[in-house]
Amino acid sequence: MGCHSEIGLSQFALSMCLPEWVSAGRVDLSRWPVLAGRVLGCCLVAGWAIVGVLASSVAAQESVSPSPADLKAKVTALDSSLDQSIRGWLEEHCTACHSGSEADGQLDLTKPFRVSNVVKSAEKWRRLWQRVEAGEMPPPDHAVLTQQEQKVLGDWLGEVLYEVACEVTPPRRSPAVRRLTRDEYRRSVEDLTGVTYATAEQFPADEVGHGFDNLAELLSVSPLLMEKYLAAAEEIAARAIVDPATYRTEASWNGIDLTGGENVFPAEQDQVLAAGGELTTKVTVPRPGKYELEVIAWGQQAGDEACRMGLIVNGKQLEEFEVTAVRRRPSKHPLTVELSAGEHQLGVSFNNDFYDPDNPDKNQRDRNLAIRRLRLSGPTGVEIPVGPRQAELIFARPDERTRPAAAARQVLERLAAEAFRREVEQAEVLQLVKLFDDQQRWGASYEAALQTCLVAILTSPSFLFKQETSPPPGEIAQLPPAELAQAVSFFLWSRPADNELLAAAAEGNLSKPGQLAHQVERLLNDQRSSAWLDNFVEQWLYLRMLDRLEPRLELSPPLTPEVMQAMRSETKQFVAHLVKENRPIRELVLAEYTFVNQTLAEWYGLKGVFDAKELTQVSLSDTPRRGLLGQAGILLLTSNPDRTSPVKRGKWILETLLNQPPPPPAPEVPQLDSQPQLSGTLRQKMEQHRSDPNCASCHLKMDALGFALERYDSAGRWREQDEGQAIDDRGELPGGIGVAGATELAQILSDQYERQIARGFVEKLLTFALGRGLTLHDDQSVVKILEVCRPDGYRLRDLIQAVIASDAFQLRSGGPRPPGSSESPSPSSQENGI
Amino acid sequence: MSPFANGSDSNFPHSRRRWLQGVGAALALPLFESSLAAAVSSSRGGAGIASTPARVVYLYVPNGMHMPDYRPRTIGNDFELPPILQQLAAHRGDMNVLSGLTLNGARALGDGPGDHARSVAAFLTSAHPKKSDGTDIRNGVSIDQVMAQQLGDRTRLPSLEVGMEQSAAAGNCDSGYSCIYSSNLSWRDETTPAPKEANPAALFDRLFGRPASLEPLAGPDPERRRRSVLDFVQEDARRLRRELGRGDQQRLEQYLTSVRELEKQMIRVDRLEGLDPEDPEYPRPAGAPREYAEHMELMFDLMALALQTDATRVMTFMYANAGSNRSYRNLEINQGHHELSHHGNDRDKQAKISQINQFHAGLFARFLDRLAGHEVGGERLLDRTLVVYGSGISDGNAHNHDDLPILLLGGKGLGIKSGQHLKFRKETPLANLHLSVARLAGATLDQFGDSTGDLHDELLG
Repeated sequence: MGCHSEIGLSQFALSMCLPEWVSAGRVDLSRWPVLAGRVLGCCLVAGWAIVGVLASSVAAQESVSPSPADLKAKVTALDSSLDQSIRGWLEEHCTACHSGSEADGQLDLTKPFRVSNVVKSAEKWRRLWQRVEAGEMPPPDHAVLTQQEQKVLGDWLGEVLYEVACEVTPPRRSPAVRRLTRDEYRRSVEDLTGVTYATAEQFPADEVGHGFDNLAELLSVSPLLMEKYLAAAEEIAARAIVDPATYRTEASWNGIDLTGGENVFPAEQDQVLAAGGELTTKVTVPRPGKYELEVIAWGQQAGDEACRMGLIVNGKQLEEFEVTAVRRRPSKHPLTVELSAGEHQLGVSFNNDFYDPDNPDKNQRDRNLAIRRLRLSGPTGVEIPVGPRQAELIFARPDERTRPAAAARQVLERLAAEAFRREVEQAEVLQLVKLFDDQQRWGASYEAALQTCLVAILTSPSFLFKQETSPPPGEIAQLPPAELAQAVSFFLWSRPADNELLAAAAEGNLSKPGQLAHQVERLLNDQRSSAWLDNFVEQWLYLRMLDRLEPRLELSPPLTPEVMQAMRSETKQFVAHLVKENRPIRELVLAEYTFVNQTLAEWYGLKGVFDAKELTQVSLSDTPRRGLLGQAGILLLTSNPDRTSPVKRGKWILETLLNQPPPPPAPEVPQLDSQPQLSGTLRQKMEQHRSDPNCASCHLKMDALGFALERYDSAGRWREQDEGQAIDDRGELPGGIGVAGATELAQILSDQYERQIARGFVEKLLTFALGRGLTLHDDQSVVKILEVCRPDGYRLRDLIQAVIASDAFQLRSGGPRPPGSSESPSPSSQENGI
Repeated sequence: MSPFANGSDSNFPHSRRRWLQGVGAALALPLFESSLAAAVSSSRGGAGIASTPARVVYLYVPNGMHMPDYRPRTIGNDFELPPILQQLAAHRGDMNVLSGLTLNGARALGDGPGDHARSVAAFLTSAHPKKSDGTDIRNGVSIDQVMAQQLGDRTRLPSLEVGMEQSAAAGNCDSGYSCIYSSNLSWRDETTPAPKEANPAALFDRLFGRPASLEPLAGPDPERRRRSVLDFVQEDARRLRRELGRGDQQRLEQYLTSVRELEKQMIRVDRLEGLDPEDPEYPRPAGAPREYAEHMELMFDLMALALQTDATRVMTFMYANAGSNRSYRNLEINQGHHELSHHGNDRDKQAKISQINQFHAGLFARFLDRLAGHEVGGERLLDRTLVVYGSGISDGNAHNHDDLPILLLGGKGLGIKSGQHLKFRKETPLANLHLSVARLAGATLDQFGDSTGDLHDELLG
């Protein structure tokens, strides 16, 4: 972010008690590399309001915001350096490749340009600057700029980018909504309802950009996905809130509700059978089991026996009762019946009709049976399941004092707040209650109506999208504490913030020194941080590519999916260990240990007995394997199905470890059918590729890195020969650094590229945390993070803490001010980028 | 139909009524000439009034082809079938080989490498996708989605996107292009792809409803309940949209469009229901088979069923994502496909590529068998279906995008003259074919992508 204060980082550094940093709190350009000084000393947000920034006593950087006049003067000075020396160098040395419509990297340096043009295409020049700083551009074999010239060019670019462009081009607007990834959806649903729903099987994959699948821009909604969301929500709701009505049947009928033939007549709500016959009704029960049937009946008694009543189920009389009761006091007759699921017919019959019209006693002439009520309930003895969190979710039920809508309102208020990860407005709750009411009006039970509300909640954008408050255009602001809590939780746990983190946010603790760090520690120590391994680490190191690989059963031991799974776990456990123990970043490549089970031990040729499944730590000191580059999973995914690929391995190192993707191949890759066939060992073939200057500039570095690993075959096992030929794993890195073999490579990466590896790691962490590609404005934070962690060797846990404490993580931008506002000290708007 | 070794669910009670419990999942109907309107709008071909509507299917194979084994040596009707086309010999009478078509959008045009991502992204859009690793993605709308938007409300699903693998899950997909470009043929608009279904069980559920064993939602009237849920979420979305800035509103717009699509689907289901749906008599798959061929046959079965039951009339299918480097061990080819396709004129590699191409074509032939074997309105389904099979790359080594391998099958009932090898003038845009297909299907379109006209003259004769 444009603001330079990095208050959070300062506090973090304090809380980690790094005395060197405290004493070095004042900008001291002679101590720090110039580039860091440049970036730090500038980038104030000219004229923009900074909301919620606390004053810090430690950060004693320059606090001058350049005025438009200052900026103009600066631009003039830079333009004049451009004219005096820079342009000349560029024209002389660079335009061989960088000219015309097919210019390398789409950078045509023959077009006239000034500082203002560079500012317009700042992002492109930023990458150029990174290459120049790394000594990669111009390519070493075209090395035509002297050291001094390269430094001056780098400095000039740095100034243009960080002292002008950074000021003038506002940070892009941070996206305010970001759809949940399918993994975040799954975890959020689990937290909310306790139900596990396998989104990886049901939902389409999320698109990947900048190496990660959680980029706001690429997470879109399509009708297909909407269908899936609705289907998922229905299934989840049914499992989360079990409606007892779907398990139990409670039904009853009055006598007059029953269906009879002739000779029946009503008597208030009873029905009387005057001449034998049957009264029936149909019922559907959802579950099989034992049911309690009960008839309440009475009789007009006459003759020398009482009424006899039969209970009939599906046409078969199951029992006959004697009914001696009279109208004033009807009797109850229960019966337990076994019913299957489905529809049944229940019946009551009058078995002994009696009519003696000639009897002198009027009351002894006619016997009739009357039915008052029929009841069915069950199944008995069946345990009605409940959803995993049902009791907590449905903590209020209607009773004598509480109407259903009132109980539902309490339930829904809490449910929505938890699901939407924020406070809910009354209007939203009322809408949910209205949905509840409608369902009940249409006959749904309490639980069924709440199920529908849960479906609505899980399908609504307030659940599906993470929301952050966006500052007004032209402004930059701190994330409110509740949103910061969510950002931290999704970063480390891929799920919503838990109650403790929310409480800390609500109490204002997340801005107190050390408190945020304390929460981050808690989250990292919690088992739920395995999500960080599953999502960040797997994507950072490309481990998901292992999903695509075919098993190779011809190997010994065979490469099966289980073995590949173990390799994946090995790398994740390794990184987890580094974070847990807060190891320095060089151990990523230099570690003399890893984690193996029995199969992996055999794979690596290690002695000893290991568990068949569980991975345990093992020393590698007696072997050449070191760190990530000795791990089979990495070596496997950087190979072809049948042979090694030094280019892929070199590319992997550049992309994942150093976050410096190699420049793309030249546009005119010549038609290879016009070249003679390539021959020889793999290495010899590749040398032939490199003899073409078009290809050489990239391949010099990539190949040297990859060749150093040639003794690992395409499945990551050690070999001394490649198809009968000796392996030559020597090479030369830019700057004339010779490297021979994997162990030496690990040492060199650790010694010479430590800072780049740390930088790569931080940039990837930020990309994953923010859900967007990084820009010019984020470089500020990145450099600061590195400075804070440098004295201690860039320890992994410290780096994660520093990322969370940084401005890039905690601030959000409202984007550029709308055109027509007075303040922008921008160069003429007619200028184009180059 | 073949049951599958890894446990297809032939034990499920296939009560038809139970199937209707899926989301809007009434089985769509077999065709009844009188009850469905869609007249073919082409003035030349097409049977005219109230005939069986046209269907369109696009299939994409990655990494180009070994053209000498694909391209017939002569043009016209009497050409010999080279090895790859031999696999389609049984359908020769329904096949048009179209040579000379060009996909300019897939060329670098100054953007440097990334041909594979571009080829897929441009194939049905004829646009030149913006090179980006994940910020400011921009492509174009694809022709199948144009047809879906114009004609799709006559079937339950406006279109169906199917593939053998989901979007790429890791890494850098192609030299500075986000994986979104290499994983998606169909694009609903410039920035939104239509994701594919790669899981056969999920595809089955979507087409034919979920099996009865899954918990039904309690309470009365599921349809009405769903509608009130959709009303609620739309209200929530509108409320949220009001609070957002312009850039984010677009995301909510996308959401609202998708919900409306869902509502339209439900309305279509209501309208189409009442007539007795056809029982597909096909066991529900348990998941994706491990074997590629088995998996593909299963997907083709389901796609054919989707057409037969008129669940949709517009489909796309990807054999694999762009630049696929999978090996084909069933063919005893251990190297990766992509790697082989950079053959450097090595004969052995070229032979292997050809084998892979033949394998793909052979599987395609089985799909055509199904369409040819099903009768509808007195014709074969294949006669009313336009099937386009091909790649956005010609030779995998040269990575050229002119003279693409493109086959057009079926459509006799729409007026297509089949059995020809047609060679078009150099640089004839592939978009011209897309325009013809869309017009034959009944869409109204002035032009598409970089089209310069349609191919009706050559195709309809």
